[in-house]
Amino acid sequence: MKKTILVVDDFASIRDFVCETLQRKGYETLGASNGNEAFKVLTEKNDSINLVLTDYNMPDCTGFELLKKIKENPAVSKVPVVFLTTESNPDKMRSAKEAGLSAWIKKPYRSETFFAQIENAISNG
Amino acid sequence: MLSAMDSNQKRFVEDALDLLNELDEGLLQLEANPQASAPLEQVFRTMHTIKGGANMFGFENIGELAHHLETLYDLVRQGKMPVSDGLISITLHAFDKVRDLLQEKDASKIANAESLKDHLKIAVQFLKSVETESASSVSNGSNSAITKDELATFFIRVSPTISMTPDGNHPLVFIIQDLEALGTAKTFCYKRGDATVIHWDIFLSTTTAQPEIESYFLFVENECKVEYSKLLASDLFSSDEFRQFIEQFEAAPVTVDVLQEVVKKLAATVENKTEHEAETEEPNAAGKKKFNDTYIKVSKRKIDDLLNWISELIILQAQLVNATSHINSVEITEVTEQLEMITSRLRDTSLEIGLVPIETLVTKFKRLVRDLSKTLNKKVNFLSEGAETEMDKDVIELMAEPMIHIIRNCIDHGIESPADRKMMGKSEHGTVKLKAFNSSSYVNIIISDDGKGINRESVLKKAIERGLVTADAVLTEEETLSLIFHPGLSTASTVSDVSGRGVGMDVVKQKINDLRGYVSIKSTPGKGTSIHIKLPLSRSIIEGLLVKVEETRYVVPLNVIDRIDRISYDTLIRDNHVNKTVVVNEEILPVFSLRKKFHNETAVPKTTDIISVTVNGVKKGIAVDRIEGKMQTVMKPLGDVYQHQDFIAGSTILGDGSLALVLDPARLFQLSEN
Amino acid sequence: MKTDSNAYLTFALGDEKFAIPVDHVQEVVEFGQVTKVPNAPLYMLGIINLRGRVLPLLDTKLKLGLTSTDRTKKSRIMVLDITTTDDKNLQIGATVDVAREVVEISANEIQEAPEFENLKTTAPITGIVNRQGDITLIMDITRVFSVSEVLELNRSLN
Repeated sequence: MKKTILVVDDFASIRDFVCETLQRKGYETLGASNGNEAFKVLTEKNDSINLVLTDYNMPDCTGFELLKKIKENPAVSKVPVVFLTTESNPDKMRSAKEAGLSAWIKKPYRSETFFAQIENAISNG
Repeated sequence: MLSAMDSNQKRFVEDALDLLNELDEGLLQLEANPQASAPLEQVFRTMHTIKGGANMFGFENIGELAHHLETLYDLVRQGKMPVSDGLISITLHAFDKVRDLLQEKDASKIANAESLKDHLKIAVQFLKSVETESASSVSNGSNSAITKDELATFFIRVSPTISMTPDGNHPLVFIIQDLEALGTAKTFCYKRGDATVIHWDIFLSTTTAQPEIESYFLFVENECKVEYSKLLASDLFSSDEFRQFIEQFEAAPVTVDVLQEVVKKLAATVENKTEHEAETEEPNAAGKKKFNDTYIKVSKRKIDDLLNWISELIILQAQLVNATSHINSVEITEVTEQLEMITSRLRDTSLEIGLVPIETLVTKFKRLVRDLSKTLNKKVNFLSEGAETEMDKDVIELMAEPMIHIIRNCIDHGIESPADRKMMGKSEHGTVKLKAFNSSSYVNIIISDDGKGINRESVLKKAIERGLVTADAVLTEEETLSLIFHPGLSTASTVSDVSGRGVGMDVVKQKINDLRGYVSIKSTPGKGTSIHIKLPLSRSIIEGLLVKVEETRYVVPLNVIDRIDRISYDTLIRDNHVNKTVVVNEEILPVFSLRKKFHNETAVPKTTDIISVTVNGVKKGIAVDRIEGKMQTVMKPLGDVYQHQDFIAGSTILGDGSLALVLDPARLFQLSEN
Repeated sequence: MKTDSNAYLTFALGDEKFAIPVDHVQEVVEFGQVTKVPNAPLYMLGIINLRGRVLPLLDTKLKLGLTSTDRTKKSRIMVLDITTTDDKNLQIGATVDVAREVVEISANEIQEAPEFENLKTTAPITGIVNRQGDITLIMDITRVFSVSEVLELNRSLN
């Protein structure tokens, strides 16, 4: 069965590009343009989403805030969350890990690293 | 006698202005923390650099001043003099004068300036009044702790706790490859009989700091054990002996003690090498070490050329995808996918090239807040978050004044006096905060204060008085607050010297609009005010509506657009002839018809799209044949030849190679007024 | 002024043959799509996309005060890179009716240009070459397209 990934980024063309990249690899994708929208989609479709892939720096609700929201809500907390971002601050990475983040992919990424991290996160949470 | 500056002097002036900014930063930090050694070192180093450059390029008077002040700080370094308010003040003032002088275009005016003589006198007197020995010895460069980029060699042993093969798909495999890309690396992989990995040993020399290296393994902590060892604070790979030494570990892994021994021996030879390199290094290189990045100056034209080629590459790549989409070849698809990923990264990188951190602005603001609060007898702290956020260099320069104006307003009209604050139960110190961050292709800057907020009633009242809104108008909170940006509205009941009449906010908004940005304001009475500015990361990136008039395409920038409507063309002509307006959304809207002004009116379409925009506080419509869609793309200037057609901000190349003209609505409307 | 090279690009405007130093010419291209920029003088035809570069396109004949004629299959655009008399570096496209060859013209072939009454043009001519009745007028292109003049004309229209 195909796995579904929810891609969150407030920039439409990045979101579309990432979705396309994932689709070519055989994933189904859903898009959201901000953290709040993403959370809504996730709670509505929680059983069918296998991974949330989100940007870090977004207005209104950052990736980090979205991560916390997800992990604090028992209905959706099992869904693995991965950041895709230009951020690389080790302290931020540690805080995110402690909050339950499954993987942190730095931009620019190599496609092998990208897919390996995503598959690993989906399989192992 | 006018003497123009040669290119070396110009370069020095540029560098010096940057350095003066850093100097301010260091002095302010030192003022806050008189015991701290890092700002002291920075101040000393920066003055030393300014002195050297000034003397070398014919500005000996500046060199002399820097020399005397440097001497004072050297005494502080030696513990013979404390950091005092007086010292900081005379230093700030002296270099303010230098900064003013450097704005002169005439080199001889700078060199012969009398104005520095006073500051020199003050510095000398200060020096004499401090009872110390004469300052004859100024430490030379090697003592001033010029730090190079932190190059170090690490040994990292990664032992997976689950079974994996080195050509497998586990993220750990790729993380190791990513690590190798951080610098010079040699990796050994030790496997069992069944080809699973026992452990990897990586020798890595890099400028990346250890915490960041460790962060690479953060998310695979459960699947491996990692041991780190920093071998040496320099590049071991520069030693042939080392390279040869580690070859032997191809066969069998090293033991850490053996490694330490050998490293100790090699250390001596390696360190001699790097020290020698340090002496020949320019002192300037130390300035930006904070970001572990080296900087080079590149001519803007080279950047523009590069951007042009990249834009073209992107168009070509899109055409390639189109042309090959019907071909069923896995190889072609893979290559075109890779190409797409790379061109998109190229474009992102090229956009970042013209960007610099807004740090320099932040330092200016710190200084401003300090000076202003002293003048106005208020206690204000300035906090900043995200000073490393990057913005287009030109935009930073253009936004400096508007933001200074906003901060002035915060301190003058927002933050209450310490007594008032105490009475209200607030801390005596008010806070002005600047927060900057990126979101998609915009830079966000939020300037907020915890002062008394904006009195909405008073704003509304003034607006009614000035006839900006009718007395019975019902406005939302947001609408009331945005009246502040209306020209001709001043809420300052007294005109203060400091922030002028308060009408500056309309100019602030216009400048932001010109940059195709957005600004909004939020306020809670008693709690404070915050102003949110959003600017496109790159001035050449345009987000707008693509429209068509006859055969020509135009782009209307998105940030001024309120709404779009469609009406019949007859209505437009009829109403326009009578009183040049149409009714849209139950409002009367003056309309500028692109077709009427720039094209001919034969063969007109049945309907016309009206784009409502707000410019300079005034709502107007732009009539086009058809809106084709929203787009975001790179804009190119038209060049000198088209200087007078400034209602066209530039042109952009569409996907099919044709050109669209980007409109500047403010200037467009000026046309109709002539 | 790079006058070391003796190579000139020759072209025709109407009946007259002109030449400009090859140094100024980046390339000669055929006409493609021209996007008109409104509210500009007649000789400013608009902008063109040259492999990702946006260049202003000027009608040389109109600029020189000659009557413009319709485009033909032979019409071409000279892509020029010139430093004008007011010290500006301009990259523009300039139209010609026919683009001819690059020829070698040695300094001693160039005669001074007297005030020709039958010279139907106000073009700035720095010399004349007469090869057995085949007359080529050497034009100072930097004066033709001096930016300040362009702007003056421009301004008077607005």
